[in-house]
Amino acid sequence: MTLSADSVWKYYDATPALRGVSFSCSESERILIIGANGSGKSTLLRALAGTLSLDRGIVRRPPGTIGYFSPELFLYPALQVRDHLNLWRDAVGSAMCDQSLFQSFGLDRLRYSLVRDLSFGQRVQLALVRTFIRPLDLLVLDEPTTGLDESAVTKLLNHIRQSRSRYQLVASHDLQRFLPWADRVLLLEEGRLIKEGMASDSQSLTDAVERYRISNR
Amino acid sequence: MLRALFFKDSLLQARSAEFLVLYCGFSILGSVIVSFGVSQLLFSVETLRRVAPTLVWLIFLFTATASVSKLQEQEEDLCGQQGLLLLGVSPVSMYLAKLLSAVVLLYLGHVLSWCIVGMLLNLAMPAAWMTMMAVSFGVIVCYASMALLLMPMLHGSRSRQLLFPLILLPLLAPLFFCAIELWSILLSYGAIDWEEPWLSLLFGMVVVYPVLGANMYQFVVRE
Repeated sequence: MTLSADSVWKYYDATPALRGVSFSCSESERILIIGANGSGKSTLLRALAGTLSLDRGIVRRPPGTIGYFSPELFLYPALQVRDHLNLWRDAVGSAMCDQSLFQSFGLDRLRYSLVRDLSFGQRVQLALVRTFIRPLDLLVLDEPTTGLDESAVTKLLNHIRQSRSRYQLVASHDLQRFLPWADRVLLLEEGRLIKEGMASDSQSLTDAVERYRISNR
Repeated sequence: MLRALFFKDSLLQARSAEFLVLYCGFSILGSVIVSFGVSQLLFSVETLRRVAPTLVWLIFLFTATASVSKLQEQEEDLCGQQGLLLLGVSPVSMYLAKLLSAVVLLYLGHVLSWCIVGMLLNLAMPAAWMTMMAVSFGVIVCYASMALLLMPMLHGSRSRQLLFPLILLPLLAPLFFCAIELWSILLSYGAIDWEEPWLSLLFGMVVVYPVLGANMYQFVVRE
């Protein structure tokens, strides 16, 4: 079973955010999605995670659990960190819940803090705990390193590696960290998939990535 | 899960206190102003007894509509609800938990308002007060069912503060006529006949509105 997008179109009002994007991700493949701001990375990931309705095209997802991280974070500012953990534990079921995540992201000392009092980086870590809290089949991360310090990024990369999810997709501007991790890279521009290839062996892709890297500086 | 969601919703309201302060503040203020406006100096006790249900339900209608949008604002800030949907929490459970916590808070405010109006107008405790409170409970369940469904529907609209009462109030007009009529009957006769058409209408709405809300909510919270 593969995860695939087939001629996917999405409009925000009259503006197309995705213009006929097609690709597939086979089992155990790690895909990095890159592109400038507004190129459609987040929209594509939302479509793959199933949190966005499409205007045209089809996304085929294998059955199973989805872990989706978005920079919108999806937290309650008036709840404490431990309230979130209790709520997620009830939602997932304590048997499935990985409570060691909480300690590993260093949130234990913030247990009684309200989310609105946390820094952006700490909120990101809490949202990452939600993403990884249960065993996943599909992992979809949209800019997961935003606001994280060096040690938190290292922990995140370890969690991604240790995650047994069968399909892993990450959109990030942090090429230094995610290019060595990825098997395949997709380059988006203005909602179109303009380049696709193996992270290591395609010279044309490397050139495109380099151009993107320079334009991104 | 329903219990955890109910606890979350209650905690959100208790921590922010915005809804509670606004709703209780408006209820007390509205009740006091209205009661002084129609005191026993101007009207007979019999007239006051007749108009009291209309006053109490008008106070509820306006105070609840002015403050109930605060219940939804907690969900929209950082989109917390989406995080629960991603973990597979059912929108029906979310809706029912939210309905339960909203009904509890709205009911307390309504009882407070009724006590203030009754006290300031010097009205004796009606014999059928328990039936009146049961009717209030049904009316508040219907009101909260529709309000909780409508608020996320208007999410994203710039003029939602205006649209919300404009859509909700006409939609719930039959419910309030029903509430006023049933309260008037109870105050006048002390009991309701089970075959009373207003009672049948209220029973119908108590069943239809929450069921409709629970089933529609998933289409509203998912994009």
